[in-house]
Amino acid sequence: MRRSRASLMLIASLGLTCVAQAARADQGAAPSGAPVSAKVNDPFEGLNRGLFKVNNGLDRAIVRPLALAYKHGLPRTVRTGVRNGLNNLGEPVTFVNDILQGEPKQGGKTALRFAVNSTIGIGGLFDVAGKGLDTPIHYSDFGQTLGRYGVGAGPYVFVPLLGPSNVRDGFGRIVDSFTGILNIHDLGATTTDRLAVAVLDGVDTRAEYDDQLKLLFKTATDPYATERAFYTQYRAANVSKHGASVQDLPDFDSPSEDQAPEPTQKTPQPHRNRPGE
Amino acid sequence: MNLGPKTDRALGARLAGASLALAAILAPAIGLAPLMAAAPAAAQSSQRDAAAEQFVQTEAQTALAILAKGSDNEKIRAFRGFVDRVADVPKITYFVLGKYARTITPAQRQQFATVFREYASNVYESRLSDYHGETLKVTGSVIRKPGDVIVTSTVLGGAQREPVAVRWRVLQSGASWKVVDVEVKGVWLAITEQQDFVSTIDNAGGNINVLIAQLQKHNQDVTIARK
Repeated sequence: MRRSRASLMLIASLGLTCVAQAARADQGAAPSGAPVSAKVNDPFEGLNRGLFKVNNGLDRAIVRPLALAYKHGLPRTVRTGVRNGLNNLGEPVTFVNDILQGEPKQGGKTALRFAVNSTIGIGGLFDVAGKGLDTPIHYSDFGQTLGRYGVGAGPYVFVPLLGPSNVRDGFGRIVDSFTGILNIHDLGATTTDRLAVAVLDGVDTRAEYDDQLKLLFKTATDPYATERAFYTQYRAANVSKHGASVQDLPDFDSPSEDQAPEPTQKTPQPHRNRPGE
Repeated sequence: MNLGPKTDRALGARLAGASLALAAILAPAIGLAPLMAAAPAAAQSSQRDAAAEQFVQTEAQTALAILAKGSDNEKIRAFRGFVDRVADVPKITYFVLGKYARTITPAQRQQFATVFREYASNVYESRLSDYHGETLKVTGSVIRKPGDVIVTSTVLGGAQREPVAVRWRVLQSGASWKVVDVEVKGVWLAITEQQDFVSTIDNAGGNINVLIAQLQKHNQDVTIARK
């Protein structure tokens, strides 16, 4: 399991996680020139918002308390070891996708990391490759691979406990779950083991981003839409390896000509419930 | 490797970006997440704009100088003046309203401008203390169209373990330039803010007053918390 799946696995609430994950280094992914569309592709918004709410309820009742207990109950060095171990389990997925994306050099780095950290790093508990060999971790996933082959993101999707995604990336996550080490080699892992790893991954990730989440909910006037904006833009950047044209940015002086205000005014209500949801 | 508190801050900073007006200027100042080095595609473009690059480099230095010394209150005061001068606040204010910029009444517009400015200031001011001596180096630029330039930069040092790539969108205004947006890792702050606000208004059935009220509430909460 690695961070990117962690975002899936548990944390739900944040596009943040994804952005954060990016922050962790993915050297292979394109930094700049992401295609940025001001348009929002969210035909299932009503449903997604409902699930977002469910997620927030679960987060308050279960996930966050668990995450904080984990964070405050264990010293940072232990949590770092856990994170390193989880990251290490995710390296094979990154490797497969590095290769599929035609990035043998990145694949080589991933393989080196996995070999070194699994052995000298004692089963991945220590990131020897990152520290000693100057080969920091990067992440690749199948949603990104599909994107590099031209597959569009598709509609936005929000899944409780798994977080923000879209049709392409969601499919990618499923594919990645089959190429994950606990599936390939099994290592004698039972379903329970795999679930435990997923939960640990989610709890660890949730703990790490607690401050950011608090900020999101405190600052944004519409946390759902803000998280969607983060996730959508971040993933677009992550997919566009060589950087899309800056021409894709919206004009600053004449915003969104393509989305004129709707002529019919809906009845004012604090939170959206679109007709039919 | 794992993120430490610094990276956390970074993300916070970006979120805070929800208040783009300043996060923009701020991005170099706050601990942004460790990312990859500069953006090669942009940096290698032959279509560079030296004046825009110079503008970002110079003003970044000004910003960092403000952040480097003085009491919190002094910093806040100096920074507000800096932002007013360097960011195109009216354009940003217009932009974040998206499609509603065209239907807003003059009275609402005035109200919104006031609360939005306060809201943005509150968000970035809460993060001024996250500055730990980072520096910014401009690495290139791409001309989107004349007078509309994306300047690429790298933020390093301070709390950064790795250089962070940050891009600035600057528009020419007369003889000078103004910042209107900033991007880290694909996420543009003004665009994100626009989606936040437009969605809020959509959900209120197109009633812009609902957004204004929400921002007012946010500003009041901050004021109360400070007391």
